Amino acid sequence: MIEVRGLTKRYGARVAVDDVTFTVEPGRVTGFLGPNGAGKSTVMRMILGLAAPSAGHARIEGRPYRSFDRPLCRVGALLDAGAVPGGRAAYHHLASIAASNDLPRSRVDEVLVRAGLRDVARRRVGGFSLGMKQRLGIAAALLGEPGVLLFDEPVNGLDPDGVRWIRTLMRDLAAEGRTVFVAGHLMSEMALTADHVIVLGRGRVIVDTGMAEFIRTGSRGDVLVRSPHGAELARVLTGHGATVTAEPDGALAVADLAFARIGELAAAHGLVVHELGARQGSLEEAYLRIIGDETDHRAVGAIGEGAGA
Amino acid sequence: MSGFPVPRGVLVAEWIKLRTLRSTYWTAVFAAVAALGLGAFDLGNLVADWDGMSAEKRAVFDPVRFGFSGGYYVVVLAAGTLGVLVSSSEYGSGLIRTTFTAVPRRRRVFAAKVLVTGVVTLVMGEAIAFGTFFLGQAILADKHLDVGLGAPHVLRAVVATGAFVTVIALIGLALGTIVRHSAGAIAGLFGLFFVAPMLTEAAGDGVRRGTLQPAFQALSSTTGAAEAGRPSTVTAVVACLVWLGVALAVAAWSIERRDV
Repeated sequence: MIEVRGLTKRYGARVAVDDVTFTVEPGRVTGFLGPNGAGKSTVMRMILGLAAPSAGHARIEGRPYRSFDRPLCRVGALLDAGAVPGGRAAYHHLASIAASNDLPRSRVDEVLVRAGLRDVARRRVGGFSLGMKQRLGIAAALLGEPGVLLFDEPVNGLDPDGVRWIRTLMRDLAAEGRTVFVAGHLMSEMALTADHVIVLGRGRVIVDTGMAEFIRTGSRGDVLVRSPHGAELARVLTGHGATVTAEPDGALAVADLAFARIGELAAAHGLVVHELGARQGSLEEAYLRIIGDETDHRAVGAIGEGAGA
Repeated sequence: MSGFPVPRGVLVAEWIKLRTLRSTYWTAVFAAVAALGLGAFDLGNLVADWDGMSAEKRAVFDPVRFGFSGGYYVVVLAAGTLGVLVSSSEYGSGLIRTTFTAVPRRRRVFAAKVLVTGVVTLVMGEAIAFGTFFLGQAILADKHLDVGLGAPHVLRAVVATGAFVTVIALIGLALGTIVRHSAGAIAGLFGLFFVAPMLTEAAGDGVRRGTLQPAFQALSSTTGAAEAGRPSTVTAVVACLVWLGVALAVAAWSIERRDV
């Protein structure tokens, strides 16, 4: 479990993290979302004792991180996959981390296998692709088989195979009862991975809720209607309180009217309908809406979304 | 550096890092070639010129110090650079976050770096110092100018010359930790070694004697303070220890307090 209470970080007059409080529970994947510059990485660095809070505190399993003697058996973290010593072989990089916490050398071989890096273990890390560096960073986080894991944008640079591997890994780790805290930008991926969502905007927590709940309340959800009598149907539906917008391909996106009611109205007016489909709201939609509400300058949500991909 | 324990595992971790850092080997090879090669070259020239040299020059000739007056500076600077890189390279790559996440008691990391770098550079420094000394004496034997380790101050000079490499490497390590940037820390170290003696010249010999380069010159000679501007052996040792102690103390103080 990770507990963050009133965590604040000021750089001079600028407040990067502003009175942030949340709890990351074990047994589920908690997604940590927010635009670039919202303070996600700073929060993670404070949880790991790398940066000192200006106020408040963070605890892991009830203790401040810097009180741990050999933390890797309790906490594993991947902050920046690029932060590796280019001249060193993957094996030696992991071996030095393992040694610092008195972990047996056999653990190095085990995590190399688990991360799919066994064949490149003796190669210098500098020649690794970003995807391989992500795997190496995750291998390092798993060295001590910790109960709490923090990942900052772990799917960046991974190929589809790697993305699925990470998704499965995180779900498995949570299913084993571990605490999994993942910061990320890729909404579609986060929607598949996370059970719980914490959204940070301008240094503050703006959402802390279950994934399903967040999508349901944060996004509209609508009904896609395809009809040869589009204009007429739109008029009818609007007359009954629906909000109708035209899709680029001529279909109608109908909101604020029940699915069944749309079909009944079409039938009552003798209008042929070729397709009628309910569309679920997406995490992306819910996220962009909440970020759009929060940001003082509109571009931030869009930039935060684009830069992570 | 006492007062905080260094767990064995943290030492092993730093040892793995140092021996898998390619610049460690390059530094050692480069330093050895420079010291032995340039030292032999200088002594070869001296032996060739000896018969034509004035009596005054012959009188101040120091058969130990002479072999350490040229190429050995490369050893000092290479070791200093290695010391800087042991710390600054981790800040440069961002690896320092992984290191401090694994060992949150940061002074343990620093102490382990000091111990590992200290031992490695001491072995390197003494090996090159003794190698240069014996090669030099073999060349000087042509003119019967050679001295043995048993002659007055000779063993002290050779051992101190090797140990000075460690002093510079650890001051470099401290600067790398404080400055966090390789180029800046190396520039600072070279400035401390080469520029500080020049800047302090105006302040008089007393101050200048407290800087590192005159201390090295005194320690690597058998004549000590006999030559103008050089500190005595004791002053030189004290100067080295004070510089080293201050640098390590500031680094150990700052490493706990700053964000990474």
